[in-house]
Amino acid sequence: MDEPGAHELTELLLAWGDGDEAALARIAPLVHAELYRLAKRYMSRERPDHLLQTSALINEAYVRLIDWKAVRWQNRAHFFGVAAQMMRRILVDFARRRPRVDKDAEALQISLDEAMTISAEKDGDLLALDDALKSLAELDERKSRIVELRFFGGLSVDETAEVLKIAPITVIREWNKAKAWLYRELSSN
Amino acid sequence: MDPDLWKKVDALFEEALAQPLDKREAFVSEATKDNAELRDEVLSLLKAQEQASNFMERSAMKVAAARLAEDSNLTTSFSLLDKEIANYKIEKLLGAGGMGEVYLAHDTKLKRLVALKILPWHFVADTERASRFRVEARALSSLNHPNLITIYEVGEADGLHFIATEFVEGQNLSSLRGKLTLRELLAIAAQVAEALSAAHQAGIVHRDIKPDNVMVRPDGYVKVLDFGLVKLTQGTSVRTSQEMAKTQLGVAMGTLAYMSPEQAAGEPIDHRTDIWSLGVVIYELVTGRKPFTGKTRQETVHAILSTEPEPATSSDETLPSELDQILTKALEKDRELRYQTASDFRADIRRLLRMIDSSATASNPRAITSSFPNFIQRTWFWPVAVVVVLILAAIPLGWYLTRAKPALAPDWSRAVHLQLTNQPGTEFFPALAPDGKSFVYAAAENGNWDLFEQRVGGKNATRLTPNTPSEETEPAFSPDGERIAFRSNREPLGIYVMERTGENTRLVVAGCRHPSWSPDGKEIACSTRSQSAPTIRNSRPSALWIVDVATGAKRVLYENDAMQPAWSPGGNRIAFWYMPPSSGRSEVATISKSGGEIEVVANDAPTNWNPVWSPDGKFLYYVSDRSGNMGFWRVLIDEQTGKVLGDPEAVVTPSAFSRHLHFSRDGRRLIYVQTEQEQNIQGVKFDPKREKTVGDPFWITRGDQQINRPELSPDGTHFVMRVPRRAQDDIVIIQRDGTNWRDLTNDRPFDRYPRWSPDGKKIAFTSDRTGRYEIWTMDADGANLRQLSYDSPGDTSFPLWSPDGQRMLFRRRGVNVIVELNKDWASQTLEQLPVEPENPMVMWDWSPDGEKLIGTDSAGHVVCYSFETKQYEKILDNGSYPMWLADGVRFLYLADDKIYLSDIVTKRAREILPSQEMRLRSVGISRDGQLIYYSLYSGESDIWLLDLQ
Repeated sequence: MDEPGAHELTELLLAWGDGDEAALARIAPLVHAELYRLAKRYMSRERPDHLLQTSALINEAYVRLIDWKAVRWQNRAHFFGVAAQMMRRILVDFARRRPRVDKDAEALQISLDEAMTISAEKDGDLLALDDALKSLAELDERKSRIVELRFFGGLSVDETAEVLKIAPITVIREWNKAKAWLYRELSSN
Repeated sequence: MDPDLWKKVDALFEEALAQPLDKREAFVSEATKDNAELRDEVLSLLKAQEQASNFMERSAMKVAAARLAEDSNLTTSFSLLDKEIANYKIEKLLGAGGMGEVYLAHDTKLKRLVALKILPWHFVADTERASRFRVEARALSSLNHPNLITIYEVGEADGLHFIATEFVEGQNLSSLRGKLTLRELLAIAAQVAEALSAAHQAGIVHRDIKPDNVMVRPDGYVKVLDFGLVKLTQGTSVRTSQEMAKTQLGVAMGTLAYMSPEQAAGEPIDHRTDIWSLGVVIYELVTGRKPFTGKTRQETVHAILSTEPEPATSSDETLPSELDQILTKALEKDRELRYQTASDFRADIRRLLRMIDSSATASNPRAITSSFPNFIQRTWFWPVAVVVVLILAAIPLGWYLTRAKPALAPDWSRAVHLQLTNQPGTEFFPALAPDGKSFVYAAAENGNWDLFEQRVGGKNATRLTPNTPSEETEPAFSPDGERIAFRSNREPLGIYVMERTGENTRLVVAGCRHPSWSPDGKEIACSTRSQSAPTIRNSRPSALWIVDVATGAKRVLYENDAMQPAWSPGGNRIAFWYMPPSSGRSEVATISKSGGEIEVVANDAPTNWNPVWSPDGKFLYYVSDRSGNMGFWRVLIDEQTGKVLGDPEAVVTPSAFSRHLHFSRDGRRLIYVQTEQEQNIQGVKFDPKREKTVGDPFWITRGDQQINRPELSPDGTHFVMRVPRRAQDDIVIIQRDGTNWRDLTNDRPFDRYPRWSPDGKKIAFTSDRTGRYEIWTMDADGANLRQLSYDSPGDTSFPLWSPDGQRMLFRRRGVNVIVELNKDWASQTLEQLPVEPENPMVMWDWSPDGEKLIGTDSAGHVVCYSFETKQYEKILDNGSYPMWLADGVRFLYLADDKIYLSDIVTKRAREILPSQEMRLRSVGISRDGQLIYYSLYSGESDIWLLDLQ
């Protein structure tokens, strides 16, 4: 398949935001490729503790994938929102398609300490997180939007505030509470 | 949860968070005295909040990527079934192991089954190692031997690294344990030794010969699997000891029993380790037990290092004592005393086979046929074998088993080679008369092409076409051998027919080239363009016509692109080669004589062209550089449908560049052209004011090397250039006087289009060292090799430095892009030049003021691009390789084998250097304008014959 160019990609994203489901199929392979690229980098150079950085200003993937000049300023907020939703869809679909690792077999290979560390990483299970986020949306739409923008979209606090037209301090407060709620939700399983 | 309750929970949670950490719990208890549900909710959230500090603080993208990285012991993180990777559709999992997973896949382009090996993550994560792997895998893939698995492609798609190889149906040797007679086993072992010999000669050691790695096809053919891959996957530099331990363990446990003493002792190994392992395999399959075993790993290693196995004959008294001698020599612990080459080993096995056969024949001729493998079902083979046995019972039959090729395929490696012409210069397009006794060809005497006829084995050529300025090439005998069709550029240019003696010449059709007769002699297929080689072709499409010889009436059969048509002997199809749009590749296909869809025969990265049918119509031969050299390949094909029925196999010729093949009618003689070429640099002093050369041209280099596109360094002290070598292209620099040759690269990848940075410190070039063509830079001494572009689709090329050295332009994904050199790839924005209004262009030079680019488009025009206006302007209709003079207005270029000067204002062409005896291939000028240099090509092409009689 031909890869769409940056400009075309931007158009596709906006088209998807307007309800064109077919656009997603064109974008997903790019995100997957980016995912593999990142994964490879992690494996080859970076220690796991370096991964625990807070999100950059904007997800690195977007910088590479999106033709920002084509996104008009007044569209920016809308665009961020669509982009975050799209990332959520693609990443969760991606997680869904991965085969389940045989936990028992895996446990044999890693020491108990390591096993504990891994199970503590609740965010690793994007499928469960997605489900929990759906429950949160029923209870508290705004919190789930914030999570979608920040976590799936990789937006900064200020950008999230811009999209939702609320104060940054509100974003921080809501984000912290949403995190706690989701964490509890995932821990109880 | 009830929405009202949630609102209360949320509000209280927020208030609690505003309290100091140690006061929060008390605060909540105080506030929820009468509401236990509310209290439990908020307290549990507070607890979660304390633990969730790192939770979701990486973006989901990074989380997903990290999970993917953690799963690195899984080869892939998708279920691959029914997925497509590149053009391979995964059909089923064949196996999995330390090497990754192997799938049966369907090549949707070439419509054949392949085995697709997906490499494990931990392996490809290391980019350096992965790239070394690809480089070496390509070396492996250049090995062509009927007993080695053919590697079709080493590639990467969707982040997965894969190797596509021939898919072999059959049984592996371990599943045939106990089912083989000695003779069958030896015939198999001889083929394994033959494969080892071929690989060892190319410097490749298998390292893991064992019954599992030997496949026996139903037709008796043996294929050795995983050649060299063991070493490739283990790698030479190992990043983590843990990883190493894993691989070592995996390999060692399975195959310890077959390891040579030096291998088991962890000493350096060479090709003789494979000889030992094959000895173990033979011993095991003959006797039913392994020669060296132990209950533990240590015991096994001890046995390998210091015990002598019992003679094989001790297990069965009827075994010949020669077998013991062979095995003793193969299993010598001191490798200096072992068989030194696999071919010596094979020779002894073959001798033993012959002995077995002749003793069997002596006692009972029919015994041999019954000793043919009963596990092999060769329907076509039986009648042949029986007849041969009955008539020629004394002839050793081992040959049939080891060379169990389909009987219809001639083995050209057994042919006699005969040089037919040795005139200076070029002889092209030989065509054998149907009786194979004489041939016609085109030769350029004094630079003018004419047709000549010569007897095979004779010395004197007879000129068939008049010695006039018109040029005649591409002769083709009519099926009855009485007439010759050919191309002439006399007025009108087209296809003419004459009697074989050169008389009664008449025009058949104007505007067409490269005739091929229909088997009934009534029609001719021809292409509207033709070339002697694909490398010098532009991309203007060539149409395929069918012309009635008697009336000259033509019909257009195919318009997209078709060169050098070849009509099949059965008359059903026409083969041709073509260039898929903007791919730069050349591929082979066939089409029905009544039109319709084309059927692709070869469509892959190597250059494939010049298809010719075998006279029986069973095979399509073509010319390809898939082994590194430009040589002949053939593929089994259905002449009715054009469907490919097998894999390409190499046809041996003793030359690095063979082409223009043609058969005698009985298929026993193959005539073709061998080319030796050289390309050197010449210089001439230049006065840029008067626009005149000063003095005579002088050689800067001389020799049989091939120097492509030399470029003088900005300080005028060195040339950098590309030098093609066998299956690799390297970057070389020499001093301005042609001395002090130094390889900057000398390895398997194709390194091309080197360009000096404006400060003369670096060289940019294109290289496929990652498996795809990307832009690279290195220092002028070859150090600091650095990859500049990433993730290219494979067409990235033609780097060009901006005059300030800050940016670089190159062609990628069909457009010219510019990157900033001070940024890494991830943060590049890839400024794109506007799409060319007419034809895609390659930029050859950036004007010294930085404002303009000059280059050539695919139609051969010289075009200038202005950064200011963002417009392209066609300057000249015909020219190549334009290079600016210092004023950024005038430029040098090549046209019609001459060097010209022109400028973007008047666009007037001034001839600077007349035609040379040799062909001009590139031009350049020193920065001070005082030296023009250019590369000159000369080629010697002669006609050779392969004769099976």
